[in-house]
Amino acid sequence: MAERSRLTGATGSLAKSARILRVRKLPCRGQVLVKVGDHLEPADVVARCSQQEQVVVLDLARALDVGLEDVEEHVLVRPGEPVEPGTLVASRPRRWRRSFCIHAGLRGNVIGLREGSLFLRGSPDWVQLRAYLPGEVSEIIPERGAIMQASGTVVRGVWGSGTEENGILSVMADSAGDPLPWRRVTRDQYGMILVAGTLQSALALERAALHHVAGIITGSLHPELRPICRSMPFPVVVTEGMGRIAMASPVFSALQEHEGDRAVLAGDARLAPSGPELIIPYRVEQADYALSIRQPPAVGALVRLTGYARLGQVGEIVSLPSEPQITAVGESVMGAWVRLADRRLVFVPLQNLEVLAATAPDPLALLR
Amino acid sequence: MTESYPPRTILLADIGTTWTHVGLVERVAGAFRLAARVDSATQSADRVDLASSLTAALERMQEIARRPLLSDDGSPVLPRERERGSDLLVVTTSAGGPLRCGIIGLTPELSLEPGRQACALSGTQIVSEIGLAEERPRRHRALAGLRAALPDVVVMLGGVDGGPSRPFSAAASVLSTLYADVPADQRPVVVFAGNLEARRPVAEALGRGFDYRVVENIHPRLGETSPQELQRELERIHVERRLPQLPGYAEISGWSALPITATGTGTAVILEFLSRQGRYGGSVLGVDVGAASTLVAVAGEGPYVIQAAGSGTSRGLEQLLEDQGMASIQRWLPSPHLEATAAAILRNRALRPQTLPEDARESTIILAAAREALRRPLQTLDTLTNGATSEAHLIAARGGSITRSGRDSQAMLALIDAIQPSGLTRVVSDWASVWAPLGILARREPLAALQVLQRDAVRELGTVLSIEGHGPSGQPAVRLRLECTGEIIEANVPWGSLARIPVEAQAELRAWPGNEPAAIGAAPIRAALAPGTVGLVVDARGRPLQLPESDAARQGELEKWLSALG
Repeated sequence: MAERSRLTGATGSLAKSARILRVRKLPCRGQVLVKVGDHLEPADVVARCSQQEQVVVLDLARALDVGLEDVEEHVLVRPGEPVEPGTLVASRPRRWRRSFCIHAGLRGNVIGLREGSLFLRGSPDWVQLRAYLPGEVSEIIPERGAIMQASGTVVRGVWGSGTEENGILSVMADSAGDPLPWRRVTRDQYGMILVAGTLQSALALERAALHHVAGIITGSLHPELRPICRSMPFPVVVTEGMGRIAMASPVFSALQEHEGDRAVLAGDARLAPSGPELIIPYRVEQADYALSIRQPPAVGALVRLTGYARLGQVGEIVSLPSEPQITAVGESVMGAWVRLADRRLVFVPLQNLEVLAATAPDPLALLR
Repeated sequence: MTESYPPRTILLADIGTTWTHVGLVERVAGAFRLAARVDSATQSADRVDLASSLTAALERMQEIARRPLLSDDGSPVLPRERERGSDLLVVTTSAGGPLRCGIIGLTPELSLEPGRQACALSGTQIVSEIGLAEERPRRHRALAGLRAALPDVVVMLGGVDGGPSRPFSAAASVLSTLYADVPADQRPVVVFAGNLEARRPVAEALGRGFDYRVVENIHPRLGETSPQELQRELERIHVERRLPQLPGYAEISGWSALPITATGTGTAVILEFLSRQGRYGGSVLGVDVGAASTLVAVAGEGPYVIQAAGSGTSRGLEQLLEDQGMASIQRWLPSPHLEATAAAILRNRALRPQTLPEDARESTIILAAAREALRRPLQTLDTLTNGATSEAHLIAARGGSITRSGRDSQAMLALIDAIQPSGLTRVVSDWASVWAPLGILARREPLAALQVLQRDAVRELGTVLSIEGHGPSGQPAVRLRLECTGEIIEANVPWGSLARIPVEAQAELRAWPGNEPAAIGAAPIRAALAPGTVGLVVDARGRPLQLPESDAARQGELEKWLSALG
């Protein structure tokens, strides 16, 4: 059971030095072009399938100027027959005048004739599914794709737009709460994945598109910018939420550590969805799975608070009561006492916690 | 997968898009009781994983109930081995994703619109609409587009019985041509719900390659609507076509002796049951305000439950905001500060639908969203049932927004605001989220389902007495006398206000209209009230409920109403 969530990417929010498995699966049956053990780069094609077909209707009765019942005698093609652009599909000679000639406008096949209309199916285009992760093919999914295996750091997003890109990480903010400054988005960022605390400017997005950045990862996003992000030619991934919320400090630190490294960034408009995420691939000798199963909260764990009241705050679990507690709303829930950065202790429902690290960076914090 | 009978331990599971609810039913002193329940986050990546969601919830149940339910390989122990495992597992789910539906109708007003309403069922998404009155080339292009839209089901409807059949058979013949090169198992199911005389010609025109099903004409005669059979067929197709595509479906099917069923189907059984019970009596309005979708249903004198669906209040919030706009939700908030924060709270809740409200303002905003989530499906249901929603004797509510709001009184107020019931209406909730699997259990073990429903699964919130019409603000709208365990409470409730009177034991209510005799009739209302967590709510704000136009006045009134219910 755990295996499935691991593969589809239902993971925790930050994992370092982790073993990463991603299912690369076509949405419909197709051809797999790789084999187990192949080493692939992100742009290598794993599998391909045909795109949704197009059905075209030719109104032969009107075009030939005949009654519905008379169309059939003028049709020159049969169901299943291939056609090319320009193929003559029907004609009607006329005395002293030029014949009516009807040509196919696309490559495809004849479906059939009914009620004076000829139905043609356009040949589908191939859709290519790429490897996405630089790594090794660990398993083949017959007719659908493959499972890619790599290692590195995974940052999960809560919102994303766009498809998949790879590029060099470039941290554009001095602190986890800083916005992406549009003035600093220049041609120097060509092909880079930009890291910002928050994204509040449409101009920054437009300049990013102008200078062909590979993507943006940000702590938060002004909600009005979502449609603009969706129209951008690169993916945008948000780690915390909508509004003006600083990126969780452990996530920001992890991205700072890897500035200048190659990463892959994925939004939500993908062929093989595993949620918005950023992956920084690197070699790890002894890797655990990328927080494959949502990590259970434990005393000492570093957690992100996801309820709106404290969205974006990070703290450390100091106690896990075994009995439910009553929240301010009056609901009886299981939860944890969390020490925040300002040393306040707050009770937080377990549903409003995401584990960022199994142990806090400073394990002696409780003693001080 | 053998079972031990009679069962002693039963697991009930309802897997939603956001939460998985599991109830453990055990035989205690000769009766079946709900011994424990858990809510666990549904496991999903791009789609809900039924098996891992269920086993995660069962792991949690093991801890709470302190009894082993899972074997070493992670699958449920079925049947029970002494104190390990359970005898029966019942699973329902609302996570099947929408049934993609194409509608072919004679005319836009008489066929497509009622078809749209009939298809406004849980999990039905209309991907294409084709009017047969269109001229031929346009109609053919639309039919070609239907194939590209990849529907699971095509519904053909229109015409009273005895009407023309030619347009239907012509459309069916085009469909048979269009799908000539598509393997039979990849073609949509075709459901015919139109003119009786057209059934056979359509069957002949389609040929043998289609799964063709016929249901009752939704418009058998002019002015008569009968969508129930079509709704039930769509529900059946949903189970056949959508649920098997979910990850983990095959595993659970191997564990459970009963087929996995749609949540709406199981809930409908309970609503029908409640409507036939003398204890509740009369017509029942079911409302399910879920994370991804909102479902409303009426069960009453007729043999069927009629349903309509809309957007939910966490995962479905983006759709709700798109459909109805933020302003429609903000109008239910009692302060400018709440209005200002509503957008941020709701947009972030949509991103993390499993988070719980941690303070009263979040809870108030979510209940404001619930009012709006209910509005559109209630309007659809009202059209389908000629206004039955406000006439219901019982409101049966479920869904996280209502049952997990933390304050029953505020949840009840949200229901009253959205539904605007008339007269005396009792309000109950599915606090444990087990009605859906309980409804399916009733088909197999009716006694167990009945005992659990009557003893444990229905939470009484209270009764609302709603005063019709409008009167001068501050003037008496209703005078009432409540007798409860020997104590007598008398009160006057003025127009424009709400009042709450706690009812902690069986009570007798008598109510007289105030200065406005037309309000609820001259004779006093007499009723026996059941105890509830909220008690009696007297709603003298009038019907239809009108919010003041100015922001300050509206916020002032809302604040008063919220405070009145506590």
